Amino acid sequence: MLLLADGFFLLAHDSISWRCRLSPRGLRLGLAAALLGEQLLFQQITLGNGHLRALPAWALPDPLAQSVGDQLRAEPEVTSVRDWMEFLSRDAYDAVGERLIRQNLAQARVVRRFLRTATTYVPVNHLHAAALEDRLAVEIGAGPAFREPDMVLLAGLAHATGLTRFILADTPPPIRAQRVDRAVAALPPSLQHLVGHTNAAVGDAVLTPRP
Amino acid sequence: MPLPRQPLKPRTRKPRSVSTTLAEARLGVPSVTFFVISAATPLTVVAGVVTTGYAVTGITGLPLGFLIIGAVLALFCMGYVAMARDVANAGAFSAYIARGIGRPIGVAGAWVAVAAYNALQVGLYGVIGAAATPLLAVWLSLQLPWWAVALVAWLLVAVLGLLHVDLNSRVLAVLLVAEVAIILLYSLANLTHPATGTVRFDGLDPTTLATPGLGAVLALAVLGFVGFESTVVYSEEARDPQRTIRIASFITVAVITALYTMSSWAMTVATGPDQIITQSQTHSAELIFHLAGQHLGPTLVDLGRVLFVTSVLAAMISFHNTTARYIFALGRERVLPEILGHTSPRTGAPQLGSLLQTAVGLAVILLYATAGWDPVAHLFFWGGTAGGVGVLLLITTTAIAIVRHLARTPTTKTTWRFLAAPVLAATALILVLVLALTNLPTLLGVPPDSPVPWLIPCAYLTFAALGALWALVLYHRRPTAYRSIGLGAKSAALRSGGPVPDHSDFQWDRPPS
Repeated sequence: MLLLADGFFLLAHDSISWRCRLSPRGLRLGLAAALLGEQLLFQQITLGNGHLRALPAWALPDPLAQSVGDQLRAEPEVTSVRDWMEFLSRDAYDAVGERLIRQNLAQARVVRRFLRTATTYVPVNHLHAAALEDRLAVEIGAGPAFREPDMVLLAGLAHATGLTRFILADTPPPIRAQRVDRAVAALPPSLQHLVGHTNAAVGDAVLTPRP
Repeated sequence: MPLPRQPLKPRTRKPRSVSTTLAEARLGVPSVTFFVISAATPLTVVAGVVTTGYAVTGITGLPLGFLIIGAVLALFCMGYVAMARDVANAGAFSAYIARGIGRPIGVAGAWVAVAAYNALQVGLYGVIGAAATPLLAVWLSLQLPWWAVALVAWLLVAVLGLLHVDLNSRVLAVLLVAEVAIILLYSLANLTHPATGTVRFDGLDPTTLATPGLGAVLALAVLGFVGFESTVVYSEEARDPQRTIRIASFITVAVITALYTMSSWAMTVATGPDQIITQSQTHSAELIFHLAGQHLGPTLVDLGRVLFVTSVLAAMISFHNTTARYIFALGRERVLPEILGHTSPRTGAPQLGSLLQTAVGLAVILLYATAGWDPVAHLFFWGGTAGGVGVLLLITTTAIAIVRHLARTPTTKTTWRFLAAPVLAATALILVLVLALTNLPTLLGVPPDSPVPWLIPCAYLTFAALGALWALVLYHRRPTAYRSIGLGAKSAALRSGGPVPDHSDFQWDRPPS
């Protein structure tokens, strides 16, 4: 089964052209939120009022999730969700990209950009990505019944970063928002709160211009 | 001997502490000051506002106006920065008003802000033609009507707005340094070539302000400072949200005050204090280049003209983005339809807010072009002054909100910063606002019986009343949206808030693996 940040990475790329659908900032924030989401789903942290608290550790099946969890526990004095999101967003792209490579879900590509080179990660399996999109579309449209929390959380993060306009391209925007809101409202409070903070971070990126 | 080939190791990153990493990324005083001053586009004010200001109001005391408003705004910044920590959407005056006075007045303020920043932005379309046509005529032998130039600028702003391009900091840095250098150079030339043989200080003589037009001068000076308010936007990213921002605000206000006071006074020296009005009426926005041409030669004049064009363009983009952000924040709070709060995923632009502002711009350009109205006096100057009065109205209401908010916040901090300075600032601003409103005919350069001076306050009053009414509708119909008023983008997080639970708040039998 797909981890949350891996799923977000796939959704953030067009399943045919592999073109990234998000701005660099939006992509990094979304991935950072998804990494925190994994910690919530693994029950490594709890979250409320803008702050998080680490819970007792247990061995996680994934090295990246394990290292994020270790970092969270190593600095219990930093509790602000937005600070953690900002911090994780710095390395999230490379970290998740490399995890996808280890699972043979992506390959690294070196691109030249002005005088320097950068590594981008490109998913490899079109069917896989398309299937994920379809599944998410079905989940979002299925009504208020409580479903897999990871899928609903993924839908919430996708909506917060603006990805649902691609996944639910045929649904009019107000109905799209209504359906995602309804699905997210059925989530446990800490997961809802993570979606809320992702939404706020994306919005604040617009309101705090860095020329 | 060749080395044995090592198997590829996964790239390991040195684990870094969150606090150090985030602390390194925080902004210091120089960065914040720089971001804010560079958006102030000084040449637009010096070449455009100051010259047309002299021409229209007929008052020589403008340099002193900048000095007075600079002092009042420095006072205002004390309480403004102190309150910023308690305001979720710290960049918007309306958020302070909602917090300090009440949510309905906050929405009223937001609507007034959208109108005022729109007026400032569209006003600039009126001056871009005047700024660019002399260059086009000399370099390309092109004789274009003002509206053609304005439409090109409009297209540029529309595209950059949708791409979410806040001009790159390096571009702005180069422009700012060049603009300041050219203003200093022109001023130096003006001061070393006094018309009367000696440098006269009439422009700085307080008695010149004892005229019925004092309010007009002060309102014009406020217009020059618009943009100073954005220091607090960087509160969350600053090294010290209070100290860094406070110092940056003071430096910003001080630099702007010094630059505008000096350059506007230098102009009066070069023309002679008794001639400044006549000369600026003859040459309008050309005055500064006309004077530079007499003393410095054509190369520096052309350079100044180019910088005037880029400065006006940068100001247009900046005001466009401010307007779009106000609309965006209202959408995020769900005070206006939620769709206004959508961003473009690929560019992160506040799409609909940007498009709406673009539409207003086009409508105004077409209206002025078809009606044949004067673009400099009746679009640039009226748009600018109307916008300036709107911003003055917002600053004054914010100052009152600050007094109310700080008075009920228990604090051990200095009474000067938390009580005396805000009260003084609010009192001074109320006085400035009253003077400005009573002097509107002088400010706009129309006869006292003209209806135009009534239209501006009436328009703002209508927007404010509609905004407050809308807030009351929200109170009854959509209480969640009502509670979000003034919270900006953070409303999404605050809507879902709750205390941090001790245990995981859900059981999931199948953790993903």
